[in-house]
Amino acid sequence: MSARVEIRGLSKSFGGRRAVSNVNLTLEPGTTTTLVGASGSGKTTLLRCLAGLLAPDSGAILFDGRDVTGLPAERRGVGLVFQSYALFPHLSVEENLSFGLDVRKTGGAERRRRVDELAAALGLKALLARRPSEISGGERQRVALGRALAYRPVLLLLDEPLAALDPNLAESVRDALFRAIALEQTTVLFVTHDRSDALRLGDRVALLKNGALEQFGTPRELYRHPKTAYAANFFGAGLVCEAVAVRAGDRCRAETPLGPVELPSGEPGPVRLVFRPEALSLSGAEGAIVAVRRVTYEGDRSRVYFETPAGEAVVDCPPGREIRAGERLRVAVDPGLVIMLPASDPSSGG
Amino acid sequence: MPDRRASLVSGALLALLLAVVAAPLAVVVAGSVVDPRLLGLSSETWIGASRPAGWFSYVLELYGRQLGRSAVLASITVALCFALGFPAAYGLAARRGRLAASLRIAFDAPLAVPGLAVAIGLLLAYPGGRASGITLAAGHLLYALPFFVRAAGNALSSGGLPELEEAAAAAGASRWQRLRRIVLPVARPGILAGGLMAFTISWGEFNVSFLLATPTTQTYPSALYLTYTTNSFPVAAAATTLFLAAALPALWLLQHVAAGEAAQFGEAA
Repeated sequence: MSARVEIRGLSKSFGGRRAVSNVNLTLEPGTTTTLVGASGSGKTTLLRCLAGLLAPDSGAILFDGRDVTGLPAERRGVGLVFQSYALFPHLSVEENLSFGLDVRKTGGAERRRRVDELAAALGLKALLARRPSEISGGERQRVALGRALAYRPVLLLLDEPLAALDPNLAESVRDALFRAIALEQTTVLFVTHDRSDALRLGDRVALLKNGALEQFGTPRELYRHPKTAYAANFFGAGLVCEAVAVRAGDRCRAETPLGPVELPSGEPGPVRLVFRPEALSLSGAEGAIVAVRRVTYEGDRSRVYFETPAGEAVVDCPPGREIRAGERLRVAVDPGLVIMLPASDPSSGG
Repeated sequence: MPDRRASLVSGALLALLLAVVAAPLAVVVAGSVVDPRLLGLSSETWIGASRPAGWFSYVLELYGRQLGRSAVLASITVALCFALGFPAAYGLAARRGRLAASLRIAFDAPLAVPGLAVAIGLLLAYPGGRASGITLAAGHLLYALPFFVRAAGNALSSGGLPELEEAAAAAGASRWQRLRRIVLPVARPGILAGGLMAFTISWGEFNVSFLLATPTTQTYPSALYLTYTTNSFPVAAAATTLFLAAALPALWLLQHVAAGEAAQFGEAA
């Protein structure tokens, strides 16, 4: 039931402003892709084009090789979960769940069986007779998902389904949501602006920047091997600095504001390195000596901001230790966690 | 306690307003059933008690035909509002551009034009339609339609209805299924309110009707005017009471429908 979804050269403008710009992306059948980016990066526009609610200016959308670009939403067989849920207020939970089956004239036992199955999977059994106004936010969210899954969509689109929930609730809803989605084995595109959701929920992650695809890959690829400084900073901000790699034995080595760093790979020459907080530590007697500028307390850790010749950098301090602004400390680098950006970064300098 | 004082003052003002508005109505209704001499309004002989239904039967004898005509005209106006106004409101609800904004203003335009001017315009434009009452119906429609389109349009664009329609489309509902299963049920209170408003506006319309009517198309408000100019006070009061008897239930229903809407869907959308 799950489709291979190809997006080819898709562009869409609103009043001269390019919302989506020449996006090429393939969603493999049965995989979950998270579509992530800052607000205004074109995530929702791309999703609406896939749903058939917006016509792209150019480009094509293919489901299993079949061009659906010109098909209206009702003939695409796509499941869509809105951020606001958009539940039908005049229908019961059961009627909301079965809506897609009812308009397809799927009646009787088949309808009954599917509604029961979804109600069980989503924990809605006791609520079937209620109206959307009579259930909680998390329950509405599950009904919205059930409504989109009922007719076994070839592609499930989720538009920030967790954004309207309070963070404590979002945690448990997220788990329930993805357990239910996994049962369906459909192709999923999950739009989010939350970087940790993007990494933990996707088999693949697509990062959008100003309507264009910045990078597409596995979560590990995007986090560990970002192709641009933008991608690197999107998933985990760190100090970006220019350095020169020189051969040292069978490896390369670079002189950085945080001392010499062994590089895992690469040729001699100019490189750009990203030092995220997790690549740095305050333990040990080695490392560059730095002056602490400010400290923010975050409970499970403190973030220590310090000055380097290349700009401000951050290192995490374990909860037991107290550090004050103005203190001088040694910061050690774990070379295995330093990120090397490719030399050919178009957003160079970012 | 400034809050308390403010609420006392506003309460007193409200009571005053109600008294000012309600007093004429109370006098008219009382005048149709009570000897007007008791109200100090007339020196005529009170014959109400000598007739089975007081002055009402007399008024119905005199103006029953106009009363029926007004009811028919108001029904036609409502029907035309549904037939013409609903598609217009539905079409406009989802659109934003400049053209849609201009069309919305165009629908409101008749409200800004004095009835006299509308009537004369209609007479000059469609001289042939006067005898059959077509011009009259057109005049009523011109005044009722803006209210209908506005009420229906608000219902069709609020409560997240455009998004509900998208959700229905994504779930596989055709345009017709969306209209029947989602749009009409969700917007129903607003559409009904628009219809009731159109009814009360047509029922009470005087300016255009007075000018456009012929003796065979005269409506009840025009007859009402005649009762005041040519008949005694009790007859006019009875005629007015009959007039209100039809308008007030419509107003009450209007309130009821609006309250029902809030109760039915709660805060979920």
